[in-house]
Amino acid sequence: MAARYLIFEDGTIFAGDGFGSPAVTFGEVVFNTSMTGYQEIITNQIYDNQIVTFTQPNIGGYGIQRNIYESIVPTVKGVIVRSLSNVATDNIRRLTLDQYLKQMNIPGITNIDTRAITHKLRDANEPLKGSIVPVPDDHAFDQLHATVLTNQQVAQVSTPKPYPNPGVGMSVVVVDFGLKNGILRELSRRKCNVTVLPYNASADEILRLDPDGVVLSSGPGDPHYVKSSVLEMIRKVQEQVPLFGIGLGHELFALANGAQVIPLGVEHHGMNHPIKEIITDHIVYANQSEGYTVDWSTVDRSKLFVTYTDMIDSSVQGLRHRQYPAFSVQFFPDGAPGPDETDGLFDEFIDTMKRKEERR
Amino acid sequence: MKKLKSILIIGAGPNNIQHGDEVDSATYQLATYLHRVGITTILVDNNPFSYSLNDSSIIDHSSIGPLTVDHLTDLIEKYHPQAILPTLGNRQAFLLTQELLEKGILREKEIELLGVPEATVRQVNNPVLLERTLRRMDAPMKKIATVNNYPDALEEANKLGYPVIIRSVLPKITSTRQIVHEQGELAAAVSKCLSHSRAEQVYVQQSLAGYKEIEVVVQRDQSGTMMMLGMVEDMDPIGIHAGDSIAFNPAQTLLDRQIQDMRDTAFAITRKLRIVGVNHIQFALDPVSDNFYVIKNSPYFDRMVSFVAQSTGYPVAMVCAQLYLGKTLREIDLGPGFAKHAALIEPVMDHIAARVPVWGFSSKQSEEQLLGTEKKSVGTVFGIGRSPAEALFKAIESRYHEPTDFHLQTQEKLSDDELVDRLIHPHAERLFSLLEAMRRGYTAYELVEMTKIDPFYFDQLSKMKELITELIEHPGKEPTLVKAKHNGLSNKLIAKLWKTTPKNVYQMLRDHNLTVKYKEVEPSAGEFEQHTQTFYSAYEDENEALTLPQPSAMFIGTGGLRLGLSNAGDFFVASMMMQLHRQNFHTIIMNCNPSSVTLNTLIADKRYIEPASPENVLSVVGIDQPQLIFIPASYTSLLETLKEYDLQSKVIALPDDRLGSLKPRSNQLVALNYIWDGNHAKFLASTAALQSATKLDYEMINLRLPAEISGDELKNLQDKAREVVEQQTTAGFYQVVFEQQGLEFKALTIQSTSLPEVAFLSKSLGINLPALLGRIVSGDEECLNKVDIPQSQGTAIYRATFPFESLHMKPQETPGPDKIIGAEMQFM
Repeated sequence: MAARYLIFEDGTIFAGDGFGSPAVTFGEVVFNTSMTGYQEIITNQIYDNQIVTFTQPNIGGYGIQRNIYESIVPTVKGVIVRSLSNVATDNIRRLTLDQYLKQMNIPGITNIDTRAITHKLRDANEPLKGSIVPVPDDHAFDQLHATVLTNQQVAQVSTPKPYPNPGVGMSVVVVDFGLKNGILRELSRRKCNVTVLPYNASADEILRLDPDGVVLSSGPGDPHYVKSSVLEMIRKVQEQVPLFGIGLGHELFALANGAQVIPLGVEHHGMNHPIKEIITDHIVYANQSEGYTVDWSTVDRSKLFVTYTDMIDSSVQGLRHRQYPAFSVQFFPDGAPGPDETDGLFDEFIDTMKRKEERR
Repeated sequence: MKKLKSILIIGAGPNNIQHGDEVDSATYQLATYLHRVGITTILVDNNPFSYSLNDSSIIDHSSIGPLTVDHLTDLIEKYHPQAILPTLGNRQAFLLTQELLEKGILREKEIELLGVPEATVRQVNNPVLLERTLRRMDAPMKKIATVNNYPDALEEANKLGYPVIIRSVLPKITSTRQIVHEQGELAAAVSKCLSHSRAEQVYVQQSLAGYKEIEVVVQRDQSGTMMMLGMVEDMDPIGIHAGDSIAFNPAQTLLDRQIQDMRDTAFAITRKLRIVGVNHIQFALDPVSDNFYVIKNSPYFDRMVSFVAQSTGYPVAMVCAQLYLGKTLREIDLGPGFAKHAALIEPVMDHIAARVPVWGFSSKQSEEQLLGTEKKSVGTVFGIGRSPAEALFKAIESRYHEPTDFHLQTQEKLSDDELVDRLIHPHAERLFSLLEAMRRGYTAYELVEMTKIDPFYFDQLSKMKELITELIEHPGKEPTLVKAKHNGLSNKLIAKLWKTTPKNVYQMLRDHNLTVKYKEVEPSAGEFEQHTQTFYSAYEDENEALTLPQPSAMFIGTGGLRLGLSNAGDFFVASMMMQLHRQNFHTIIMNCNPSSVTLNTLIADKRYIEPASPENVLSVVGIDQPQLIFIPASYTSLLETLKEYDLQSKVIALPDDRLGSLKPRSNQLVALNYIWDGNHAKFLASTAALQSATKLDYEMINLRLPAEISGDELKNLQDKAREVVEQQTTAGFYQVVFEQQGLEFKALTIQSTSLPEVAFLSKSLGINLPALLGRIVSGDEECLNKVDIPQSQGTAIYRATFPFESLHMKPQETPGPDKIIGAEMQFM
C-alpha cells in the first residue's frame, strides 16, 4: 500500500496508507461511530461531498455483499479507517472492500490515527474540509484551499427520471432527495406499490399518480440549498395525502411548515444515542446521520409538535403536523445499518394511509 | 428509588474453572455504591480469595460460611435484610434463591428479590421451563424432538438433516451426548442413549456445531428501557467451549442485519423475563442461512459481562447497582468523567479487544489438550489494539507464564499428518497450528472448510504470518520495526525473530525515536470528551495518558488466573493497592485479566491494559514516575530486565511464586505464621495441615487454624520460630514449619507464607494482611508496633479445590499446591 496523507486546511497532516482508488479527493471530513454496517454507510448518499472517518477500528471483515447496498452508485468522497480487512465472502462474485472502492473510484486511507482525527473534528466544532493526497506539499494545500464543494448535492444524487418499484399494496410516491435503499426495502416488506420521483417533482406531478401517501426521502447536505419549489410541493401534498419525511425529508418538512433548520457544529453520525419518544416516554436507538437540525424554538406550535428528541443533545428528532396526517423523523427508521426499534414508523405510515382510505 | 435499608448478597464460592474473580470485582463496585447510599451490605461467601469479603469499609457484615440455604436462613434471622441479590453468585446463587423462595422464607420475611423476578429465577434454573417460554415467544431455538424408538428417531433425524445430536432423557450417567453424522451411526447412538435413559426416551436435536458463537450483553431498567452493551464474537465455531475460544469485542464478521436481529431477540428475551440489570445471551448463528438460535441465557454477572465492561469502559456494575435500587437509566449519572446521560449511550469502541484463554494443563499430553464442548481453560487474558491482529498479538503476549515464542518451533516440528490432525481436532494451541498451516501453503478457503472458522480470521492470521516472515527476512530494519510495533509485537518476540536481545530492540526504538502513545478506553469512541483513566498502548500520533500527581505507586497484576496461585494474587495486589490508595498514593495497575478485581476503578486510579513486558513497564514509569513499583516475583525475567535500567523507583517483589514446597508427611505439620518488617516479627497464627482423606498424609493444602497444640508448646515453638524469622532480610510473611515427631516438634523449614495462605489468614483473623504489608513497604516503618493482630474468631478450616474433574485429568495421588484452582473456608 502506498503512503497517503489526510490534510486539513489548517495545515494538519495525518499519515497513512492508501487503499481503494488512488485519486486525490476533497470533502468535508466527518466521523461515524457505528460499529456495524460499513457497506451500508459507504453507499448511503447522504455522504455526498463528505469523507467518512470510521471510528470503528476495522472494516472490510466480510467484503461486499450483494444485497445490502444503500445505493448503487455511492457518492462518498473518501473512506478513512484505522485497519482494513481484505476479505471477500459473498458467494457469487467475491469482492473485497478495497476492490469495490477501486471500482467505484472512491479513495481510502488506512493505518491512520482515526481517534486523533475524531478528536480534531469534535474540538473544531465546525465543518472541516480535508483532502486525501499522495504528497502533502504546498500544491496539495493550495488545491484544498481552492476547492469549493457544490451545494447542489440533492440535484446531483437524485434520480433524473421516475421509476417504479411495483407492489400489490398501498401506492406510495417516494420523492428522492438522495434515497437510501432502506426506505424502499421497508416499503417492499409492506408490499407497497412504489414510484420514485425526482426531487423536483411538483405537487401536481405527484398527486397525478393518486398515491395513498408520499415519503420524503433522506439525502445529503443543507436543506436551504434545495429548490424552494420543493417546500411549496410539501405544503400542497401534506394537505392531500399522508406524508412521511425522513432525514433531509424531515428537515424540508420542518422548513415547509415554518420552522428553521440550523447546522450542527459537529455532525452526528452513529446509532448509540438514546432517543425519547415524547408521547410514550419510551427510549429507542436508531441510525442517526445529521449535519443539520430543526431549531426547537422556531417550531410553530400551532402547526407542528415535537414527537422525538435526542436525549444527549436535546435535538428535535421527530415532528408531526397538527392538522394533516403528516409526520417526520430526523433519524433513519429503516436502520441499515442500525437498530430496527423504530421501523414501526413505516407501519404507522401504512396505517395512516389506510385510515385515510377508509375515510374516503 | 426504593428505600432499602439492607441487602444480602450471595457470593460465588470458590474459584473454579467457570469463574475467576469477575464476580468479586462486580461485588466490590456494587457494594461500594450501596454502602455509599446508606444501605447495610451483607455478603456471604466462603472464598478465602475474595477481596470484597475482606473490606469492612464497604461490606457491613461479611459472613464467611457455607453457601447453603441453612446458612442463608441463619443470616436472614440475624440481620433481617430487606432484599436479596442473586446476580453476584453465578448459577449457584439462583439455585439457593429458588430454595429460599420455595421454603417461603423470602415471603415470610418480606424480603425483596433484586434483579430478577421469582419466575425468572425458576426458568434460569430449569432449562426445560426456559425453553418453553422462549418457544412460546417465538424466540429461535434449536429444533428438538423426543422419541422412544429407532424408526421415530430416524424420521426426526431425516427431518432435521445430519449431523444430529442424540442424548438420553433423564440420563442415568452424566454424559450421553452423541453426535451422529450420518444415518449409519444413528441406530447405535439411539440404542445406547435409550439404555441410559430412565424414561427410555431420547432427544433427537439439531446440531449447531460449526455455527458462529455470538455472545450479547444487554441491560434493562425497571421502566423497560433496554440497551446493548456489547456483542462478542468467538473465533472458534460452536463445538469448542466459548470460554476456550479466542473472542473479539466488537464482533468482526457479522452483517448489520444479523446483529440487529440478535439484538432484537436479546431484548425480547430480557423483556419477557423482566430482568433488571444485565443479561448475557449466547447465540449460534448459521452464516449460510442467517438463521440463529438462542443457546443460553444468563442474567447475572459473569466473565462475559466483565470482559464487555473492561473492553468498552462502560461501568456496568456501578450502573447495575443503581438499577437494582429502582433507578432508571435516565436517572443515572456516571460522574464527572462522563457526558450527560452517558449511562444511556450504548458503548461504541474505537479499539478492538481480543480475549485468549490461559490453560492449566499439567502435561504436554496431546489428548488432554483437545478442545471440545467442555471448558478446559482456567483463566483468561485480553489485549487491546487498534486492529484485530494487534489486539491478538498483545493478548498472546499477555499470557506471561506461557512460552511467548508463539510456539512456532513446536509447530514447525509437526509432520504434515500431525498438523492436519490438529486442524481437524482442535487443540489448545490451535492458533499457532493455523499459522503454521498457512505457512505451509494452505489457503484460507481450505482452512475455512476444515475448521469452520470465518475467512476474516484467516485474513488476520495471514497478516500476522506475513509480518513474522518479514521480520525474519529483514533483521534490524527500521521500517519493519515500525510495522511490528504498529501491530503490537513485543520486543521479546521481535528479538526472538531477529536473533538478538530485547534490550537491543528497545535501544533501536529509542535510537529511531519511536515512542509509544497511549489511548483511552472510553465508551463513545471519541465523540465526547470522557475519561476513564484506562489506557492501552498504540504506536500512533496522539497520546492521551497524562502524568498522575505524586505520590504514585505502580502495580503489575498477577495476570490471568492460573493454577496454584488462583485469585490469591489478585486479592493480594488489590489489598495492597487499596492500602496505598488510602495513604493518598495514586495507584496505577498494569494488568491483562479482564476479570481481575485490581482493574476496578475504585482501587486503581489509572489502568493500563497491557502485557507486563519490560518496555511497557519502562514506558509507564516514564509517564507516571511512580515512587514504588510492585511486581509479582513470578515475573522473574521482568524483574531481572528492569535491574538493568535506572528506574528512579523502588521495586518491590510480591511473593506470588512461592506456593509452599513441603512434601506430604505422615506426621502432623504445624506452621507458625509471622509478619516481618525488618525489625519486628509479629506472630499471626498457627496453622496445621489437615490429613488428606485418601492418603492420610498431612499436606499444606488443607489447613486448620489455629493448630491443636497446647499454650505452652505454642510458646516454646514461638521462641524458636521468632529467632529464624528475625534472620530474614526482606519484609514479608513467613512461616516456620514444624513436624511432630512423637511428643517433640522439630523445625523443618522457614518459607514465605504462600499468597493463598495469607488470604486465608486474613479472613480468619479479620485483618487485611496484604494491606498491612503495604503500609510497611510504603515507608510506615513503625506501623507494625501499633497494630494489634486480632485473634481468630474460632477454628477456621481451609480446603483447596482442584480442577481435575472439570479438566478430566487423572487426580494425582498427591495433588500439589501448584494445581489449586480455588479454595473454600469455613469457621467450625
